[in-house]
This record gives sequence, structure tokens and C-alpha cells, in this order.
Amino acid sequence: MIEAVGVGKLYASGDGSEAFRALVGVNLAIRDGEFVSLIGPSGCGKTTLLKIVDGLLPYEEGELRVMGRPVTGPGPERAVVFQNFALLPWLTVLDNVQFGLQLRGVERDQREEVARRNVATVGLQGFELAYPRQLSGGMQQRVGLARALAVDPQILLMDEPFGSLDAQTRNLLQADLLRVWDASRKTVLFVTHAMDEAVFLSDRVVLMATGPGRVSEVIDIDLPRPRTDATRTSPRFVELTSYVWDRLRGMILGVAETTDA
Amino acid sequence: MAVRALRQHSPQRERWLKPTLRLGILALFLGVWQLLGNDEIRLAMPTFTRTMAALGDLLSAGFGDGSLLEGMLITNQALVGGYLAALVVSLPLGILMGSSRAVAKVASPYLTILLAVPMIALVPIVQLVFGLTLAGRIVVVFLFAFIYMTINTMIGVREASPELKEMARSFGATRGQMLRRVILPGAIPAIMAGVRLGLGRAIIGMIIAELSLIGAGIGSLILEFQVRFQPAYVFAIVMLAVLEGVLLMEIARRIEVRFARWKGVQGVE
Amino acid sequence: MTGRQEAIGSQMAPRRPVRPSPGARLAENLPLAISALAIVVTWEVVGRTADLTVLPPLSEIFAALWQFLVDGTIIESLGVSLVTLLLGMALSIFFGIAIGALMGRYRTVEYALDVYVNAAMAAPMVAFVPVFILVFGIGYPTRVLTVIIFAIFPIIVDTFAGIRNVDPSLVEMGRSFGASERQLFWRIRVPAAFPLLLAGIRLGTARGVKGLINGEVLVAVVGLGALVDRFGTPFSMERLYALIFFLVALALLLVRLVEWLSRRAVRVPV
Repeated sequence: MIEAVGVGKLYASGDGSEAFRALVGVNLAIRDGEFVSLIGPSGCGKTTLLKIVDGLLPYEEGELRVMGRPVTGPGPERAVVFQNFALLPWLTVLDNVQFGLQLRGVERDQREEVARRNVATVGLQGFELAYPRQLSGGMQQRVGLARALAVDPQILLMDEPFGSLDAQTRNLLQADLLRVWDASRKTVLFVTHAMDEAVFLSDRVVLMATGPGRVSEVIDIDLPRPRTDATRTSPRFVELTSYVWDRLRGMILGVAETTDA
Repeated sequence: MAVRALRQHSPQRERWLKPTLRLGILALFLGVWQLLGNDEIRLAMPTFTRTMAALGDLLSAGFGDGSLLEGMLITNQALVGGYLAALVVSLPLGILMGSSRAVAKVASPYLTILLAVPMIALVPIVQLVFGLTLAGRIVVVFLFAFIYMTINTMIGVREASPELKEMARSFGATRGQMLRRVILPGAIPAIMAGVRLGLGRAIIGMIIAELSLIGAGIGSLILEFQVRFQPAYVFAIVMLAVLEGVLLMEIARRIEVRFARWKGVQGVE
Repeated sequence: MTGRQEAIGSQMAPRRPVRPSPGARLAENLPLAISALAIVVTWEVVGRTADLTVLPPLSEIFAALWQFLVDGTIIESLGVSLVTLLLGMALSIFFGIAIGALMGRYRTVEYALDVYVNAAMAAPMVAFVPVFILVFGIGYPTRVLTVIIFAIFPIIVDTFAGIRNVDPSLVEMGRSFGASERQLFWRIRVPAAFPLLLAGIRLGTARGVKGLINGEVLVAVVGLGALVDRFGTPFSMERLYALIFFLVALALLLVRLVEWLSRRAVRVPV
């Protein structure tokens, strides 16, 4: 579904010298219906990579294909959920959810129906006419999710979507996300900085390193689905989360990897 | 040691406290005015009662020839003409400048300079070109208002949230859609602030135009009573003009709040 | 080299793109430079050829400007204007802060005055100048009073807002340590309100200058504003333009000065 070969990103300076390298040699192959997380310390380029996959940022090296076609810009098969929600404050919940459809010229009746359906899917039934400022952070992000789902993308790109929410809301939304995903089995690329979140949600976790940003390791998450609260306390979950944290800590502190897994 | 909190008022007491205080201060002010005023000497501050009498006298002429109300009507023609002209020019110009970084870069220094120009100094130039006509006064009002409206509009468009723009791009918005559905709606609070500030400036321009390019409006009436050494009448006319200004600005403020309910009042002065 | 870059990179946040080279900067400012040049050239050419009274050639304007500075016409008027401005601003700042602080400290004062202060902010104060002229004459009192009615209200409003809208958690903290209202006022509200107070003074100064010029033009006796009246004839247009250039330069300078003073002032209450 998503294929990256040797993808690199370079920020050039005015006269060509001293360029800043954000990403180098990213090789990634994400299958249809997979849930993959990108995790790494600050500056590893995980958000940059996500934006490149969506076509919001150009890439200078390598090849990137989505559904077989090279990426040159945003497209209808991909939709993004943003960390700070990016809701239009002057529109109601329903109008916000319809936004993507409206841009594509879908007719009013049809897009309203789709919007209502997605509002219900994310559990915000009854709040269609509310404004973003009247909603909590968690509710606002549900709107963001509904908006992305409304355009029926094949690929869902999520940029630290639960980063600005409190722990309780985060857990609830993680469960809701899996529920929604389970029903449609879209391909998901999920950027996060929380190890437990990455392990809980994903089929695979891509560990990224910094200086310059690159893929360090890809970890298979062999936890059974559906994942529940019980999963969070299972030994395998703890093992995997510890492993990820161990690798991350190693990168952050610049120390050689420890021998314990 | 007891801590004294800010004195709490019961809601009952609050309700009549504010109006009482306000009227009280007004009464105090009027009382002082009345005492300091002197109706005997010609060129002294007139008393409040004398001023009110003059106002009553002026208003009693209704809309007749040479009356105060007729003068106000004529004076406001310049306001309407100049302000509307400023709106028509400033909003598109501001949007253009806000959308294009190239245009903004070229135009910004000129705007800064124009902001620093005391518009009243341009009045002699306008007078030379247009004479003491309505057209001249309209131009003066325009000059006073258009810079503020342009700048506030430009800022509103330029400060469009980059996050929202990125979001729209991710959903495939074209440039036109971006402008219409993200940038402009987001810019409306700033634009409305500019509209309000521009109105304030336009009113000032109207008055300065009246006092400098004297035509058939209140400017000539003021001059008439100045020459006759009748300060009470001058004051009455001035009070009416100021009152109109305050009322118009309050209306503009309410309209602005309505349009910016999701954001709040702001603006570059 | 790559290893070293990696080590540095892992500790630093992503660096911003490097500053553009001198060549790039020149290219950026080229359209502006061209437009400025075009305006200068057009003005000069049209001024000379079209022979419009209302648009003298740029060179004559600069000649007049030079003449001003040399023969001291401007200096004398500038002196009078500055005195008026300083007097007016001093009074506006003193009374403005006092009134604003009273409004911030005592709710009764706030309730009594707020409607009038807000109305005065929006009102076209310039309309009172004819009254002042008639009643107080054409001397310093009228001009200083004009500066005050322009400048004082933003100062009052911003001082009041600064004191009233102090971070409530700071006030709460003060109360929890047993501070009296008086202590809260002087130790927490006033220092915290300082930035907004300065903003009010900046705005008040900008308006004060407008009040100065407007007042002086309408009174038309002394000061820079009077020169506007004096040069506003068809025979001295180049001097009017020269005066306008001078006033603009002065205004821009004043803005820089006030901003510099603001920055110095903020460093004081460390």
C-alpha cells in the first residue's frame, strides 16, 4: 500500500552549502490494512515522514509510492488527523466533518448524510450543531477523526492525535480508534511518542532514530486482536513496551544498547 | 490577621449599583461644569444649562434651511461617501496584500510611511485640487480611513492559521477554496476590527474636513457661532457631533462582536 | 564527519534552515528597490513637466527641506511642538495611570467611570478643539489640552485592564500567603500590569502626537501644525510636502524611540 525506498529529505540553504538533513534512507513497506506506528525521540523526523507520505512536504531523495503511484501531493486516498485538531472554529461539528467532502464538490444532501453517519461512528451523536470551542479536547479530536473518515480514505495518517489529551481520554480514544479501525480495516500510519500507545495499537512499530532522521528498527507486535484493557497488563505487552522504551532511552541518552532485551 | 477579600456585592445590590454610580458621576460632572461655567463673560466656558438651551434652540429649527440637523445631514454625506469608498478600496487591497508575500514585501514600507503621515497635513493639497466641495471632504474622509482598514485586513489574511491551511491542503483544497473557506472566514474578526477602527478614523476625518474645507455642513455653523462669540452654541453643535460619533462607534462595535463571536475583539490602531 | 553530525543532531532540536546569502537578500528586496526608484523618477519627471501646482518635483521638495533645516524655521516650531507634546504627555501619563489604577483597585470607581472612558476612547475628540479655541484661546492651554484628550484615554484603559486582568493564580497565591488588598495591589498587580501599562503609554503617545498636530493645525498659530497652515498655499506647496516628509520622519523616529524606551523600561523591574 505504501512503499518507501531510500526516501530522504534535505532542507537546502540559500547558497546550497550547509543543508539540513531531516531524513535519510527510509525504507518502509506497509501492507494493505496494516496498523503501523512511527515512534522516536524529538527530531527523528517521524512527523516529517508522515507529511511526506501525505504529500504535504516534498522529498528530495528516493522513491515513494502509495497504492502503486508515486506521491506528488495530497490525494483522495489519504486523510490526516492532526495533533492540534485543526478544526475550523467558525463551523459547527457537522460542517467541520463535511469539510473534505465539500471541497470535493459532493452534493449537500449526500455529504450531510455521510457526515451524520461519521459523527455517530465516533460517538458524538447529538453534538452536530456544537462549535469546537464548546467541546473538550477529546471530543474535538473525535471530530477530527470523523472528518478524516468521512472522505473514505484507504490510508489514515495520524500525527500524534492524542498527544494533547489527558491520560484518561487518551485510553478511551485509543479503544474507540481500534473499534472504528476494526470495522473498516484501513491502512493506518500512526505517529506517537508514547511507547505503550504504539504497542497497544499497532501491528508493527517502526523505531526511528535522530541525527539525521532514519529508520532504526521495525518491531513486530504479535499481540492478539481485538486488543482490550486486559491486553495492557499482559506479560507480552509489558515485554514489548519495555523493549521499545529501552531502545528509545538508548537513543536519547546516546548510550550503546544494553544487552537485556 | 483577617484577610479582607474584595468586597462582595449581592446580586440584588449589583443591579442598581452600577447605574447609580454612573449617573452619580454624570451628575457630579455636570454640577462642576455648571459651577465653573460663566454665562456673563462672552468668551468663557458656558454653563451646562446655557448649552442645553442653545441645543434646544438649534434643534427646534428642525430640518429647515441652515438648521443644525440639516447641517448634520450634509456633513454626514462626506462620511458616507468617504467611508464606503475606503471599504471598496481597502478590503480587496488588504486581501491581495495579505495573500501574496511578494506584494506585501513591496507594499509594507509604503504602508508604514502612510501610517505615519498626519492626514490633516494633506488637507491643503486636497483643497487645492478639489476646492471647498463635497468631493474634497469625501477624499479627506477616505484618506483618514483607508490605511487602517487596509492594514487590519492584510493582517487578518496574513495571520491565517498555518495549521488550518495545512489541514485544508491535506484534504485537497485548491487555492480558491483555501482563500474562500479557510483564509477569509478566519480573517473576518481582524477585518471587522479594521472596519470599526476605520469608521472611527473616518468620523475624525469628517470633522476635520468640516473644520477645514468649510462647506454647508456643521463646519460653517460652528464658524458662524465662533464669529458671533457664542460658545454655548458652538459647544452644543460639538456635543451633538461627538454624540453621533460615539453612537456610530457603539453600533460598529456590536456588529464586530457579532461577526467575531468565535474569536473576540482585536485590531491594530 | 557523519558520526560527529549524528552526535550533535541527537542532542539538538532540528535546526532552522540557514540564513539566505547576501545575493539572495538582494534579490528579495529588488522589487521594493525598483518600485521606490520608479516612484522617485516619476515624481521628478511629472513634477517638472506637468507643472501642476499640487505636485512639485521631488528635487524642489528636498531643496525646501534642506532650506528648513538650515534656516531654522523648523527648529523653532519643532521646539514649541515638543514642549506642548511633553507637557501634554506628562499630564496624560500621570493622570491616566492614576485614574486607571483607581479603576483597577476599586470596583466603585470602575463602575462609575468605565462607560465614559470607553465612550471617550471611541469619540472623535478632535471635535472639541473649536470649543477650546473659543474658551481658552490660542495659547498653550488649548494645545496641551488637545494632546491630553487624545492621549489620556488609551492610557486609562490599558492601565485599568493591566491591573484588573492580572493572572488570577498570582493573586490567589498572594492571598494564600495572607496579603492584604493593599499589598496585593502594590506587590502583585502593579508589577504584573507593567507591560500592558507600557502598551497603553505607547498607544497614548501615538494618539497624543496626532492630537498635537491636529490641534496645532486647527489653532494655526505656533508649532509644526501651524506651519501646515502657513505652507498650505498654492505658492508654497513644495514646502508643505517638505514639512510632511519631515513630520513622517519625525513620527517614525518617535515610534522607534518609544519602543526603545519600552524595552529599557521592561528590564527595570527584574
